[in-house]
Amino acid sequence: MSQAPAFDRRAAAAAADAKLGEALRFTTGRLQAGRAAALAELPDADALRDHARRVRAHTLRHLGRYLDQFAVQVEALGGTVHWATTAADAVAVVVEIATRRAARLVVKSKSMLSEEIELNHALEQAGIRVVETDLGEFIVQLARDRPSHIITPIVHWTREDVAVLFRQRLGAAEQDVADIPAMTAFARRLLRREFLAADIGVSGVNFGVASTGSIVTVTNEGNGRLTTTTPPLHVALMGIERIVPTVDDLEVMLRLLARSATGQKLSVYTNIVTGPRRDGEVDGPRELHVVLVDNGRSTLLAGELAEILYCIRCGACLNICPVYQRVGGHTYDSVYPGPLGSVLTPGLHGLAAAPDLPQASTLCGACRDVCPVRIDIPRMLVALRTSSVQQGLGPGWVRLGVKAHAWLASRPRAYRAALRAVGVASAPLARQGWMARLPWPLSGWTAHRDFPAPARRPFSALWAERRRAR
Amino acid sequence: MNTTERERMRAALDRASAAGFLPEAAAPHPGRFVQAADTVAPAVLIERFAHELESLAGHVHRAPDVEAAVAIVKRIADDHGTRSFLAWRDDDLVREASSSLERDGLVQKPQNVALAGPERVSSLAEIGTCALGITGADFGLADTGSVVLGCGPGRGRLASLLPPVHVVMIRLERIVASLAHALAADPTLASRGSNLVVITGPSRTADIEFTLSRGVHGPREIHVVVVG
Amino acid sequence: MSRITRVQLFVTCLVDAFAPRTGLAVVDLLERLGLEVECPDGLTCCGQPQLNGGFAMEAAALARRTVDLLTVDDAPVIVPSGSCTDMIVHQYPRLLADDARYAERARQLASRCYELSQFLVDVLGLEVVDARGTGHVAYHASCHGLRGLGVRRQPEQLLDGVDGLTRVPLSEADVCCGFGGLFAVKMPGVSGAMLQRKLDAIEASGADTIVVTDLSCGLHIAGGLRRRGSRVRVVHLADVLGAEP
Repeated sequence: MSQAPAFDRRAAAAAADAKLGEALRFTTGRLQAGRAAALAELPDADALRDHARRVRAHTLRHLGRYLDQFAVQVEALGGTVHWATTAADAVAVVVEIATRRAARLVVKSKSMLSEEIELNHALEQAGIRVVETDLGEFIVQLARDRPSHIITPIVHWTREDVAVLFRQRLGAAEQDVADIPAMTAFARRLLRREFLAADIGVSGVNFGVASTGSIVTVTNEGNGRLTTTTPPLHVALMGIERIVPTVDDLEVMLRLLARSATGQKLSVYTNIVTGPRRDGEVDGPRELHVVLVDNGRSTLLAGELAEILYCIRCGACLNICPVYQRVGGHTYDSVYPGPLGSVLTPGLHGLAAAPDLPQASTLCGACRDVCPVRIDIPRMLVALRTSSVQQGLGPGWVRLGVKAHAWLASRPRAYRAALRAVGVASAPLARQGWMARLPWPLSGWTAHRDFPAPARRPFSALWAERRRAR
Repeated sequence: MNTTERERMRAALDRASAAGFLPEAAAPHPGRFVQAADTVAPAVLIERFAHELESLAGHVHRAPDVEAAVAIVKRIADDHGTRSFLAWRDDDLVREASSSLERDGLVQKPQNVALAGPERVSSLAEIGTCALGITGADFGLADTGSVVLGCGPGRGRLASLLPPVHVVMIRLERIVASLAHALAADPTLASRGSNLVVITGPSRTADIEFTLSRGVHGPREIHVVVVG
Repeated sequence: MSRITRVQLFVTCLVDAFAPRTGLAVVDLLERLGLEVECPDGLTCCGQPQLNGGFAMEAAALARRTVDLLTVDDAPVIVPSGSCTDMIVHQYPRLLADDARYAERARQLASRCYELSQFLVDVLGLEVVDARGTGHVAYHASCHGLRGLGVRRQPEQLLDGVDGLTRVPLSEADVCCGFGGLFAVKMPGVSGAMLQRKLDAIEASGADTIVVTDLSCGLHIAGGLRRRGSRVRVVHLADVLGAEP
């Protein structure tokens, strides 16, 4: 007997966790409301989104050319650009930079790409201490947990959880964890020391600007600024699709990003780095390395999932998704959860790596509605499901049922006979027209709801009768 | 070695683009985005700027002239018991304020951060003692309550980043409607120096239980003194 | 707008099997509005669950069959389901675009196929339908009807026009109920969790009846309400409007 898919089992456990449910509901509700208000405030949100989408489409169509332009600009300013096809290549580049400089401490600002390529582990293996500086990621790292949302990584933690963690792992005193401001201040003091002592700052890249070779990091805390300012060497990890042609294009994306993500008009720090410290400047790193990472993106670009590369990582799709809202990020077991991850993860790593994710949706379309660049995620989920069927993945009983139905549905008399037979057979099992228990494989339905008994006489029979009577 | 990697990746990208799977059939660059209407009328730029920044718990102070502006900065320094501060050298408004503070006996720390060795540690340690950072700004953005700071010689990044209190001195006419307006007025703004930062309110996080805390890594307080 | 005198009705496979009286209610309603109604023989399933489940071949076969049956006559086609209408209007042309025998007919069919409330309000131009009812009702929007077809205001308007009925708001009315076709049995845990949230909203609304345009949502919600021991009923819009006034 086959079980429900792994995703569904994890989902059921998550849905039973009332605390998690409350946290998800509260946070996603606030983020959704924030987004709606922030976009309503713009005189031309729809036009802006259409424009942003066209910029993304154009950029991806000419991605190679824009990456070339970007690289030339960065190098003209004295930076170094590395091209990494695989995750292993990217990791090797960073580890090499770090070991060549005998680095002992790396501070990191938020980078989902670094999680995708599993950079931290590799640096630690090389004897280098890595400290996440985004407060949520810092806590995740400390607890050896995983983030559950791309914007608010510890939506699944309570303040008590954090207090316990700080006391146990950091030796925090009672007054250090008395309340949330205290805990934040404690983390700030600790991380400040790390920022000032670090040999290397590793950042992600929200956007690279091709015309100027600029790298943009967007944070509310300021860790994006500190990571890219105090250490003498800065490594920026950039997915190859995270590029825009010009500064004007950047401005359009920025106008949409924070509003879509949290409802803020702009994040607190929009940090634009253009090359390393220049002659005469007083601070900033002297060395800048940009690692352009492919890791499956060029393969994605060549296929019917290419549109997912338009994504600007705002998280709006997670916040609106009724599945995500009920089960949270960990259920997806993926660096990228939610609707985004359901396409991106099998897209980058193949269906076999994440066979359940494309199935974990009712295709309601809410994600497509809120995406700032109008990505048609449902279309791509169907494409992935179609590939699944072609590859013979998925439960056999569904396949059998669909084939049986297809046979019957093209033969009206057999279909009607089958309906009548089912109607008759289920009548004794039904109470007041409902069945409380269906046999496998349909038992999944009755685990949560009653199933209606089919009518004794289908509409086709009633209609035929009515027609005869006239 | 790296060149071969680049060539391989470029070839893969060219092949991918040629496969033509992107939804948009022809994808010309749409040009510059033309806004439907000005989000902020010129007559109310400062009001809107103040409203936006104050809603983020930032502080906006109006000063009719430089003298009044300096007095405001002194008051802020005083309120925070400031003994040492970090300030831009290459900004005439800020220099006025710095000189005045120094005359009062406050110590201005050097902005320069040495690149290596014990000088680096000590320069950062010195900067770390500053309670106050004073900068100018290239622009103020009315629609978001932001200030735009380009770095350059004499205009360090850390003055607006490490001290817990950040004071910005800006002339009224530098407040424009939005970032798009600033870029239109000053097209090389973003890439003239190694860093441009758009600062919108004090540092904050809501990572823990979606509860707001300020001053996580950046300043917990920001004061913008508008002159004119 | 040319005067329509005759329509074809595709009741959908769920109405056929589980709620045939709803099918008759649609017929009664349309006939009371002076229309001649024909239900082409042999219609079964539109193929949406198959398409959404990744079974493209089976979906295309059902699409061809449905196109064949509904293009013999060129009268408008009415469907009491947002999902099935969306399938015919938006997916059939795409699915059959490369099939020379069907592409044009699929497009033609798509141009004259309507969800019931859409037909009544947007095509016939009705503000209300003469009908009577009692109690408090709340409307749950089907995702494909809402986002695929833009159906939202029409059912609400029609319900507001029913004498004796009070319509109350349903919180999170736009949020998916968790049915999703094959999803309901392939991912029962998630489906069940989404259903519970919808049921909570329904119970909080104070409605004694939930009105749906899609029987798929309807059966899923009704099954859940019954499992909870709730007294709240679920009816199709046609049941409300089609009842003899």
